[in-house]
Amino acid sequence: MDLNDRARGSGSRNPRGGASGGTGNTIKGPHSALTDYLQEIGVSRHFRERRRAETAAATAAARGQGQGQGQGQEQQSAATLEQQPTPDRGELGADSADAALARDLQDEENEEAETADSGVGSSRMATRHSSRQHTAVVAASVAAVVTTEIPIDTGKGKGAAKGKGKKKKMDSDSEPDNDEKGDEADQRAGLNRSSARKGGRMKQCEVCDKRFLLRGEHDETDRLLCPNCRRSIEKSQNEAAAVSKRAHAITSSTAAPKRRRLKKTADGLLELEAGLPTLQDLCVRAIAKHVDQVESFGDISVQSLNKLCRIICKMRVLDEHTLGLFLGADRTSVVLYDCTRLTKDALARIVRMSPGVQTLALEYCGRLDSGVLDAFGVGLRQLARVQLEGAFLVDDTAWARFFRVAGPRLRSFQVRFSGFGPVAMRALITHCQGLEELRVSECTDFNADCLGMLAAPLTETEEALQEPERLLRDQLSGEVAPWRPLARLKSLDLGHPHLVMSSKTAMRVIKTLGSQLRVLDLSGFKDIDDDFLLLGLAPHSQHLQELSLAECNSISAEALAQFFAQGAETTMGRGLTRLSLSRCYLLTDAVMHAVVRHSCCSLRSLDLNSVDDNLSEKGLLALAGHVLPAEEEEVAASSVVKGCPYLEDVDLSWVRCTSDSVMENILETCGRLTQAKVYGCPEVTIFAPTRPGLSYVGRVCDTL
Amino acid sequence: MSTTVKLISGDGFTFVIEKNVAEHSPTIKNMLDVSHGGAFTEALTNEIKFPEIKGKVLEKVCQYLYYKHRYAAEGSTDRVPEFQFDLELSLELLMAADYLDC
Repeated sequence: MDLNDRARGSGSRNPRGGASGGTGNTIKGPHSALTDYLQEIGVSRHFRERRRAETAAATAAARGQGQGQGQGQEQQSAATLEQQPTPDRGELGADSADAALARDLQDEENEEAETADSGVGSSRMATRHSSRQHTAVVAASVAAVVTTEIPIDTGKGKGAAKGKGKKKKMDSDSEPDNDEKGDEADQRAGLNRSSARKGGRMKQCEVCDKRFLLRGEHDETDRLLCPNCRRSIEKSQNEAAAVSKRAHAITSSTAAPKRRRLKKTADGLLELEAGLPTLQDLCVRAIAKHVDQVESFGDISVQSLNKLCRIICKMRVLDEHTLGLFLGADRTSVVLYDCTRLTKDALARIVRMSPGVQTLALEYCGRLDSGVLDAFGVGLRQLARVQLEGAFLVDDTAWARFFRVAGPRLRSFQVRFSGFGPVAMRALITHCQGLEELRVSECTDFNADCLGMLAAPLTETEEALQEPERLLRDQLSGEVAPWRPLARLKSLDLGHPHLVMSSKTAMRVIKTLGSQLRVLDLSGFKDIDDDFLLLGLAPHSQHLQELSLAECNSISAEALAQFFAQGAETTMGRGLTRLSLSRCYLLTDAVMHAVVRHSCCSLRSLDLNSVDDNLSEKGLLALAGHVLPAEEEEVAASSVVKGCPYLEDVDLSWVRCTSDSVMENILETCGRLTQAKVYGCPEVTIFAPTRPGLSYVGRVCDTL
Repeated sequence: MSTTVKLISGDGFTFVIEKNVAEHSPTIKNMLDVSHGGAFTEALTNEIKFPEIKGKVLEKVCQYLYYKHRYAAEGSTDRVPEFQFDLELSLELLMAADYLDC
């Protein structure tokens, strides 16, 4: 009894004592509910001491702010509070002490989790998660006012405490949940919160692209590698060094050459792994070095040169040096598939070195601007076919100037993603009367007026045309020719416009130009409707061979069926060669039957991507020549039973009713099928019928 | 004899190399692969024809495959010699290398 009394007495007299007094103390004095709880879950004085030691240096100035708060047994927590500035002193004294305690709890739990082994980490995380929730609940019950401030306080407290901590930590500290995620991320990056004080910078590893902490100075000649990659590369180097030591005599110095090889990797041409360069790399490098001696390469046929260009563009090494391979005084066609690394000067070289070029096709030519385009117009006197994709720096008036200079020579003009607008369109109509092929696709300035210019101007829209004409007149200082249609136009592709194209305007255009067109692409014309199809396109499509109505969702299935049914009488099965109805979700089986009846003897390419909603197996089997029994009486007369025997490639992606048996039927009839795209068709499996020459693209089993 | 493969060029030259060396080219590896789906004829006969590649070029390719086989496992030591070839060959060699992806 006496002993116990003494112990109890000593315990209570100890100013730092009563609360939590260590794990061994069984004497319970008056504790707050929070302190009781902390003891229950095992957070002990030990952790708090440790944390206090860490925060001691950084926030010496804040010492004393938290003192004097709380009761005797809370002084323990108050002592830890002294490191953290709390804005809510005064009447919230006791409450904020609890809040601080809650904060401490969170910090300690973080440390606990961080120092835990990864194997044990998951269970600890689980308990931490649940205990964190409890903590929040307890804290909430303690002081309703403070709970709202806990997140912010925690952030501030931690921010002050951690000193040079990472910005990521401070940002993520605003909520307990973000805390957790930030901790996990830090842990993954190899960080230990307790060692965060040493500071460092977040860098991204060159090899695996993961973020990691780099302490101290970064050696510029050295590669930026996360610890894992560095370890694995060093291990392979050590192994390699060991092998070579065993196999060869030991050389004097290995340090300098190693750095040379590492420096080469910054080139981008060598593999990042410490390995051999590929044969392709070696060849391209040799070619690039000796581009000036092109004659020494010997005779290269045009196809080989084209293939070479594809390869070099695929490897993204087409630049000023390698460009020389493809230019020359005798070249009549310059086709470059990737001009991203060609500067304006490099592009201008095309004019200087190949002035006789007739076909110019540049893809990804983002660096091409108005100045270069002017140079093309003036310098390339024989230019007849132009294809520029991605020349977004070229604006409306620049195109107009180009047409004024080079327009009469042009036979084919294709442009995508450029600043082609009304002024340019008007200039095109005026100057490019010999144009046979026109494509203006995905140009943000191409509006309904531009579309309207293709058709004969109505009197009321004449006003709309005045503006571009006025601009042109200013430039030409002369008469602007009256409107004439593009009489030679055979191919028109206005796919995927960015602005709305009205159905009526499209109708006018079709009435003017439709009869002469062989190729028509109106993908993305979401506004055109049944009237356009039946009253505009149907009577004016005698020579149409390739048609694309992709994404034209306003056309109903009945109208489509009727369009093809009407056309079938005139075409007698010799209709379209290419048809794209991708994303026309309203398509039904009846339409498929009509299509087959219309073009069975000529259809080479069919695109039914995503036409999933109303199409069933019967629709697809129409391609194979199967018809509904109800139409038997017609079958005898028509040639539908043949299906589409000349079909060469078909796109049935995302048409989920496509299955192995459907493919089997189609393959029976379509003997020339070479490619079948079946992305997203889970029923087309590895057992789908195949034969030499046929390739399936996008089967689920192929990717696994 | 299943450890070697025959590579036949367009102009009739035949090169016999070991299979594990040839498989440094992913294209050839896929052709000789018997595990996936149906086996190609090439996998059964161990002969691959390259009608578009000339004999001289295919010879260089075989040399490169051996070069890669020899030095790839060693990692970055300074004893790896440079792989030499004539400039005249480089264009066709590039196209062959692109096809064989090596």
